[in-house]
Amino acid sequence: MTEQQILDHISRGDETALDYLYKKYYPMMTKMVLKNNGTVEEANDVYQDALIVFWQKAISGNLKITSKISTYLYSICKNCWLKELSRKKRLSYAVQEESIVQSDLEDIMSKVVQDAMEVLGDPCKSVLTYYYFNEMSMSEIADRMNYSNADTVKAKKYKCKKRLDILIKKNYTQEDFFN
Amino acid sequence: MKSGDQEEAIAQYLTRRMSEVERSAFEKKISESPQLAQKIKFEKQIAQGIRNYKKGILKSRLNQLELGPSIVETTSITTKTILAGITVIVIVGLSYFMLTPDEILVIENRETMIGTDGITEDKNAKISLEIDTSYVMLSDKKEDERNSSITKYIENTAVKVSTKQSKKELKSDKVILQAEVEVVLPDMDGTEISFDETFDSLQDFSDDLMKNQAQVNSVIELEVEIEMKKTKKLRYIYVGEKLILIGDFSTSLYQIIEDNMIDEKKLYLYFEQKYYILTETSEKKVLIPVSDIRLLNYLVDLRNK
Repeated sequence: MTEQQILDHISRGDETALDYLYKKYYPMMTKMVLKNNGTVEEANDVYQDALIVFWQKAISGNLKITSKISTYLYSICKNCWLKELSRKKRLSYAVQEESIVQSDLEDIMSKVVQDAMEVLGDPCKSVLTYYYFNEMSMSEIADRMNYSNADTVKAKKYKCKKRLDILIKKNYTQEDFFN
Repeated sequence: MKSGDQEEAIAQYLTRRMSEVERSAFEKKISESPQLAQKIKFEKQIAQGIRNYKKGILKSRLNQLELGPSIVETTSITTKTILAGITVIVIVGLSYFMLTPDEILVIENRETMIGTDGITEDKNAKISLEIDTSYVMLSDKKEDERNSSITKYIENTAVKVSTKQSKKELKSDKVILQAEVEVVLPDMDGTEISFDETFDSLQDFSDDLMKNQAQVNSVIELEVEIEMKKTKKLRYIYVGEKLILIGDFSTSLYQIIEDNMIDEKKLYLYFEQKYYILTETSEKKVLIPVSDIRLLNYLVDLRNK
């Protein structure tokens, strides 16, 4: 598969392209983390995060790639690992209570949203992930999901988001996160 | 601004869909309204939660992917290739004992899968052995030459085992097999081929191979001695059944992992989240962490067992 073919597959949301890339660059990317004091788990985690960042950029059309995919992916991987290293360093030298509390809250919120998304089911789940994760335009979502036009998607997204908000607020309020 | 409009504006702001002008105007509004700022902070977390939700799905997809053999490419001739070779030789050997030369011709040219990872039986009671993803083709050259060859194709590489016999040897009851094994290390991708029922008896043999392939012994007859030295560099000496670890091993617990293979055992050290290969040495040798991800994954699995 050529690099352009890979990018074409990604732009169509074909997740087998993600599998292909993951396998192809697995040894190369994880080696960088391992050679720089990382554990196997960290190497896997960092590589997966980096690949998903790449995927997200490529799928949303925000990727202006001038180098080879591997070079670009390597630089994301490196940045992710440096970020993780500095986070670890910060935590080991001075435990910043505030940042830990903030990160805990984010984790809780993620879990709450995740549960709500599962309850929401399809097609809302897809509409919202296409909008927030893939950052696709309304007409792209319409094409992908066979809706008649962008306005239909806009209305659908609005309703889905409302339903998601209700599910989230059932257990948690905005105040829970900021008090 | 109506509530629906405001929410749409927030969503557009958070997903970078606003133009520069719209963005500046909206940020001005945010700075003037603490309620709006708070609302955005909350909505930002929801948007992040949706992204993390999808990210979680993708990560679990990646975690389920087969990444191929764990150590085949990292060691010279590893368990899999050794066992592949042995299995191939045994199949050839058994086929000579179990079948007449004519019958051998029947199985030749049939695609067969041989493997060392495990052994499974399919619905038709055919045996299939797996070597990750390799094809083994039994093929015959010329009946007259009594020459058969087995070639295992693995992407661009091949393991080739060939047996040659003279007519005289074939006729006699005492058959001597000479096997030549050429091994080029493969990048294996899986496939499946089945054996004929005639090979049922191979299953027991292969089961034994599997059992011997990798076992982790929690109790080993190894004598381990620590020579404490306040130095960052870790070294070791490993002779016979005695292992001396030299360096500062007081910081945490260490583990010795023994990997028993068919004809050899390998020793690994796990210390402070790193793995080290221990090879026999009477000289002090520096411990260098394993950095090959496939070997590391193999060791993580081994250790977890």
